[in-house]
Amino acid sequence: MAGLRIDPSDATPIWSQIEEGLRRLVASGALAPGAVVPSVRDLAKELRVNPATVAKAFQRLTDAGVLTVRRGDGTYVADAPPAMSRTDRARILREAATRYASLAATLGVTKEEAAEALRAAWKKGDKS
Amino acid sequence: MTEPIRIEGLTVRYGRSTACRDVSLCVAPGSVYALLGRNGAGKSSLVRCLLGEQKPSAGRTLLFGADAWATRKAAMARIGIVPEEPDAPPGMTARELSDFCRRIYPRWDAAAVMARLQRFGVPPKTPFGRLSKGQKGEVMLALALGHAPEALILDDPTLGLDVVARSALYEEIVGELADRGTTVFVTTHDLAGFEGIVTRVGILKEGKLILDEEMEALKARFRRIRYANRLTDTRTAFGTELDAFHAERVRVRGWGIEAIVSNFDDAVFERFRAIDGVDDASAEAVPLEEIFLAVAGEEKGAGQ
Amino acid sequence: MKGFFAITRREIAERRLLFAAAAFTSLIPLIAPFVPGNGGASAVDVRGWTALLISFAFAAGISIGLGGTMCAPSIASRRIGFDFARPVSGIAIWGGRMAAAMLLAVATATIVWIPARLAGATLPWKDFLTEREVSLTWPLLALGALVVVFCLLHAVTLALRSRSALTGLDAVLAVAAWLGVSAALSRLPLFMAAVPFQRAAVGFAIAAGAALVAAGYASVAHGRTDIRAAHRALSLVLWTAIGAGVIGVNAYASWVMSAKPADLERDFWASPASAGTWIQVEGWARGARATFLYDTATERFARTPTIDWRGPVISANGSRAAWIQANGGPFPLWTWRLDDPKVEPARTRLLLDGYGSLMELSADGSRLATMEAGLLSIHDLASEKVLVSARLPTRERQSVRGLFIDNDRFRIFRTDEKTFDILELDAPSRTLRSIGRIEGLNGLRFFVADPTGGRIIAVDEPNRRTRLFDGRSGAFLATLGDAPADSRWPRFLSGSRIAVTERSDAGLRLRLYGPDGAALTTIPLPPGRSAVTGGEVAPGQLAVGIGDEGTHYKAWLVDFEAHSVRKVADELWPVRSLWTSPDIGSPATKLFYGPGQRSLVHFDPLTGKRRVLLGTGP
Repeated sequence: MAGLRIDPSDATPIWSQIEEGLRRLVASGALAPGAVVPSVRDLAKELRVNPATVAKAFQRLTDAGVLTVRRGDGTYVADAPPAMSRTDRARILREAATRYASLAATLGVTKEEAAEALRAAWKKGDKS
Repeated sequence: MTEPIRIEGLTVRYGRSTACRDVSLCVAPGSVYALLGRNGAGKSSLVRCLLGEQKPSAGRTLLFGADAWATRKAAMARIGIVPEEPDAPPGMTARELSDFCRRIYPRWDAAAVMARLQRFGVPPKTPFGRLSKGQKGEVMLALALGHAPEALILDDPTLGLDVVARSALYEEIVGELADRGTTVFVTTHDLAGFEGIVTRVGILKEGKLILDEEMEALKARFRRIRYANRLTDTRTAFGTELDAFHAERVRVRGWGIEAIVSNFDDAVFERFRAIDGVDDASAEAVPLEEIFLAVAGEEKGAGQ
Repeated sequence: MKGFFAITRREIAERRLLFAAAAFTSLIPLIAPFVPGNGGASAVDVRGWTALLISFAFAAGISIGLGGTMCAPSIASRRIGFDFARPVSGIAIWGGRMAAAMLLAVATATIVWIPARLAGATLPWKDFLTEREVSLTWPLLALGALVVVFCLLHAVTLALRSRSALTGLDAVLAVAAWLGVSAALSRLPLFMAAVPFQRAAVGFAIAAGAALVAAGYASVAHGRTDIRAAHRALSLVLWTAIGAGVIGVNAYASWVMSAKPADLERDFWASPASAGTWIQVEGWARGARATFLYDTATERFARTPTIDWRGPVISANGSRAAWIQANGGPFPLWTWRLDDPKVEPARTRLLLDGYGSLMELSADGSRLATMEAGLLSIHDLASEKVLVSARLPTRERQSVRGLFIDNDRFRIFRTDEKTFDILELDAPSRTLRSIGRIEGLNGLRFFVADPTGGRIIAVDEPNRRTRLFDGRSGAFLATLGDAPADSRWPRFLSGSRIAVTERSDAGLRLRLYGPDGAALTTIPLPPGRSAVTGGEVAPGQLAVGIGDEGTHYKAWLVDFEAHSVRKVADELWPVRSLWTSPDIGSPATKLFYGPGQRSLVHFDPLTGKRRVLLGTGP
């Protein structure tokens, strides 16, 4: 599945990586509302991860209304993904920013360079 | 539901040497348990006891709640096995082997076995003994899955397989997990390949189970910490600052210190970074392979 | 069962080339008769033998080969784990392989036979066997042997492949088991226990075979993929079972050999001493022929494992017995003071080398004469020394008997059908000299000398004349009985008189003669098939046994003075011994065999009182 990358050795649980990856794909529009999402089996095979892990991510996304399951048919991106609450959105953004900032600091890059990289990534995301 | 696999106080002795000492573990239904250990750590003895091939000196191994030694035959109808050394009769072709199994198992899906072999590209009419190492492993896997087992026991299944064969193996295992929720018990050296599949990890060292933990928890507490070290007026020695993280392995590099820690915590790490003399501290996740090396390797502890 | 058949089928399929090899080889018997140098045997015979040989080679070769390769190497390499990883029982894994090997052995052996059979060949020894043996007994035995060979090879290979110290222990135990079994079996022939020997040997062979099969199963089922454990299981089962077999065989042999006179049950044969209460008694006890010295008064006894005429012998006064023990040689001489209850049988220092052909005790039991390998010797039992030895030339077919005239002189009768030499060995002068001979014998049937050696009665063919000769010179004295008779039982009575029973046209008769052969009286006996003389139970009162046409016997008492005969018992038969003359009224004269010779009875014809001494009484 294009755009979904996971790293099994990352400290973040794999189900969480999948969940966030899919959220990002939906949020960025890469996965349009109503689009078919690969089956648990296929995605697990593709990512070479435990299907239970994929299923857990799917379950959480379904519960959150990001994905919908049509019985006997498959899993789809929900027609109208629910807007996240402002506070949630702010929190997630803040956490991600902190992680990014600490990475940038570890690499020893300047604030300007980090901000530029963020802008470049934004543009790239728009194109895909 | 009883656990497919349960080991209670397993001890295996050969004369005066002990291969396993009081090992206990449990594999929950639908989980994937990876047992890691260096050569000679006691894995083979443990697996043989698990398969009911060998009688433990003490303790017991249970398959679906029944003693593996005493009720091996019944358990084998529900278990698929891929042994470390492919051991099918060398004169028989894959098709003949499947036919043989068909006579033994109540439900044997010969078509599925042959389809799988075709997927692997194993010639069905070549005697087993003349197949390549990888093909032998693939035949063993196909035979192990032929009766749709509830549990799969894989003893170092990737040993000697090339990249393509490994890939096919993982796909089959993932497919089994997805389709049937098969429980998997695997001993392996290919930690990277199984990293995304495994749900629980056990590490054997010198016959003792020194680690037995959920994969997620394991990954959450292990980190590689790197920092540059500087002596200041108040800081005349170093090394002790890592104690809070419980360093498994510490290396002094040219640019500073690299440590694998097993008790990582974000809040503690923030304080660590603030220590005067600790510069440019970073923490990153550790692959399973390195966790294994840090835990089961010869050198251990921060005392060097 | 599914697993069993699946494994059998797989193991056979893996070796299907053997069928082709058998089919190819089966052509050899067809061309065998055309190969030169078969000694002119018929084509059918040559084919039969060749096919048999090849069949045997296939069956034996497969049992040996597969016994050594089917299981043990798979365990050693852990390849057998393939089977243990399937839902198949240990019995199927072991039994399926064994069944496959047996089927292969039998099938290839049969294939080899088919073309030869079609060409008319038959089993070469078929004529010597019954139909049942050809079709059932021998094939089953052969199959059993193949199974045992298979298991034996499995055991040996496993022991060698396990490379453990247990292999050494196996070897030691194998030797110990062999010694244990031979210890039991080797003694049985001495006790003339041919049937128990066979039973013990066959029983142990079956037990050992079963032990091998069970041990093979245990090694596979409990060893699984661990060759050391397999070896331990094999050894444990094998040696436990074989150990039990060894103990069983030894216990059985001991039980057979420890039979007491009370255990005697049939085919009684007894020989009393002239005086006293001691007898030599023989019969079947616990499946073996058992010989005892037995005191009818006190029931003391000793078993004398002896063969033929190597004893035991009892001196005329009943005070001493002697016999030779062991069957391999040299033979130790045993003696027993019968008159002293505190003395046990004792082995003397005297050893006899060869196959003894004569053993006689002097009247007081102090001297013993033996003859072995042509050497006649007189031993002094008190000093355990040989007093005199002399080489006694005997020709083929000649036999020697003799008796002590007194403690220093031994008289020898050397006979064959035509000649009768009388010799005497004198101990003090150490001389052996010929003192007489009987002339004019025409096919000697048997002879008997009186206890003093003074007179001889000889019966010769073809007309069964019964004649009395002088025991020293061999001079003719008298003819006893004036007509040829079918059977004649002469007997020296203790009062020097001679009793002869005979059957002629006139019926059964008892004839009494004086010491010189002068006819004294003739007493007609009741009708019957034969009559034998027993002992003199009182002066002038002689027990006689008369048999009817069947197997029934009656005891009669003949009164010489009253000239009368009266029946005293049914189903009793006097114990008779030609060469001894029991004292009048002594216990020996009152010994009778019970019905069917299944017991020994003390019976007093005068009072009618009877007491069963041994065996199952009437």
